[in-house]
Amino acid sequence: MSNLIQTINLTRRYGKQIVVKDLNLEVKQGEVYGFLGPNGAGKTTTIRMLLGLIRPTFGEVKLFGKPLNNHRREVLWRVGALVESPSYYGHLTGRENLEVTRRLLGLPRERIDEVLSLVRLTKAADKKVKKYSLGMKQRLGIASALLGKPDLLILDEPTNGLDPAGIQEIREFIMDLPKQYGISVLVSSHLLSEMEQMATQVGIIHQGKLIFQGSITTLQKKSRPRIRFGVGDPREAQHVLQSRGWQVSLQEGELWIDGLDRNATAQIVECLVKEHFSVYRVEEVKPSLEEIFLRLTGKEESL
Amino acid sequence: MTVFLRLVSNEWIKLQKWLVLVLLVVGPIFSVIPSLTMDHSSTEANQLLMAYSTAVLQYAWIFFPILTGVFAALICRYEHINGGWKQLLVQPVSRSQIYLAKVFLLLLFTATSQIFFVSAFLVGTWWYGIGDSISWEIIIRSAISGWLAVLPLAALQLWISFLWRSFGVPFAINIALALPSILAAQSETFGPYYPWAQPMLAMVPSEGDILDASIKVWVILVGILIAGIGGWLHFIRRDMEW
Ligand SMILES: Nc1ncnc2c1ncn2[C@@H]1O[C@H](COP(=O)(O)OP(=O)(O)OP(=O)(O)O)[C@@H](O)[C@H]1O
Ligand SMILES: [Mg+2]
Repeated sequence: MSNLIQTINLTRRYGKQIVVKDLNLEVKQGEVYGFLGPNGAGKTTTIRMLLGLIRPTFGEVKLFGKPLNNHRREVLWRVGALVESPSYYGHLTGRENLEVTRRLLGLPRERIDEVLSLVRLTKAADKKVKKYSLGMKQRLGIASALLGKPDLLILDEPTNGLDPAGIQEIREFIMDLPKQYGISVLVSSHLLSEMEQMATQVGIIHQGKLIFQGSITTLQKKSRPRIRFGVGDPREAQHVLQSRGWQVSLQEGELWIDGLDRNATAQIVECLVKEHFSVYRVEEVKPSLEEIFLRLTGKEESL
Repeated sequence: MTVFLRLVSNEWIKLQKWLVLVLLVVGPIFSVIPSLTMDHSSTEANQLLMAYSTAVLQYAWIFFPILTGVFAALICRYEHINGGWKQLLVQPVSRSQIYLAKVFLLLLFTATSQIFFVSAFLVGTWWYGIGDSISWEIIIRSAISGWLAVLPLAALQLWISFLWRSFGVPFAINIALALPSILAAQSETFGPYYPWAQPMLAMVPSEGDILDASIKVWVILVGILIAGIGGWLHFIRRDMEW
């Protein structure tokens, strides 16, 4: 399948600081692509370059296979976007805000009611946007991005500042976009758990560099599971296993061994049973995405 | 062309019309009323022409240049305050067209301001019953000259409004540079090249052609080109980070 978004060695410098470095993103049709990275990683900077709001210091952006710098208007017809904090005209109503974009794109009037109901803002449509809550402003932003029936939606932290119910609602909404409306999505976030819920593909950016790109399942496979053994007399059992060359750690009265395959697991159980330890539990524990992320960056910092 | 018209009609939706009206009315009223109530009888000259000259001095010294700046800032303000630029600039329209739509609005405002000024003066002369007559031609020529002469300043103000997000900074710059324009206008070598003095010089009533008074047409043209092209290049090339 073709790439809706492709960046080639995309680089952006601010003064001496390289904020985005040699980024090669590939976002395919039908995906929800989670663009993940901690605060200050360069997500917004990348998204601005994808939309032509700022220019790369080096490298290229292609949308729908066409270079952005000489096909900007043509490809932007097919893109809806929400960049960072929501944009709005506070002294106008929600409906008037949408009317501004509708006119610009020359769309039929009914489209406004359609997108309003999509994001469930119909009731608040005639209220001034400065009186909207942050969540309502976010939803208005999404409505405006959807107005032109885009093939690609680019959303920068759309759940920022929402309450849990609002976050859940937006996530479900985003997950449904490819199937229900044929809209592919690039959505940025600094929360791994969020990506786990809605993304099919993930790109992880850290200090401006892409440290992982692939499917969520590949990401999960990338780090092998750990096996947890519940054993009687764990301290003694640890000694015995260590004396036979296994790397065993003892945590909260249970034994943990990294990266075992089936055979090795069976060997260990056999060994423990022969040495007359009672083995009451053997369990495979998949690492959380948090842990995977920490391993990828090799840093013990929280997101 | 359709895109340009759509952009202009959007500017119209966004605009707070009552605010524009207030701004347009203030200058003419505060310059026309004092000029007509003032006693000009000590001179031999045409009373009405004296009154008009006084009104022009008031209006074109402070109100017109500052109003132009306020309009330029207002046109950008709706995008400046709540992230409107990024929303507007990710739409499939060229930045040049957006720039032109803003310019068009500014042209419209400044022209309307001239119409208001002239109308206020005419209504005022009737109201106060000033006897002398004045040639329409002189007044209309003065208004048109003033409008043309404010265009370099208008383009410059638009550029400045792109640069600063706040309303205050461009406003303060504008006042600080407008006040000395009355001194600048005294100087024949410097005045005609000072954008804040140009409208005043151009509006001084005279018998010649449009823009014939004391400023050369080419000075205005060069001013429009420099400030217009500068602002346009800045706008289409700038990194939009807000
Ligand atoms: N205009 C600018 N001038 C200088 N540095 C900038 C500018 N914009 C961004 N940066 C720097 O670039 C880095 C990346 O910023 P960016 O906003 O892209 O991060 P982000 O991943 O979107 O973070 P967040 O999760 O906080 O939104 C930061 O260190 C920031 O300080
Ligand atoms: Mg960001």
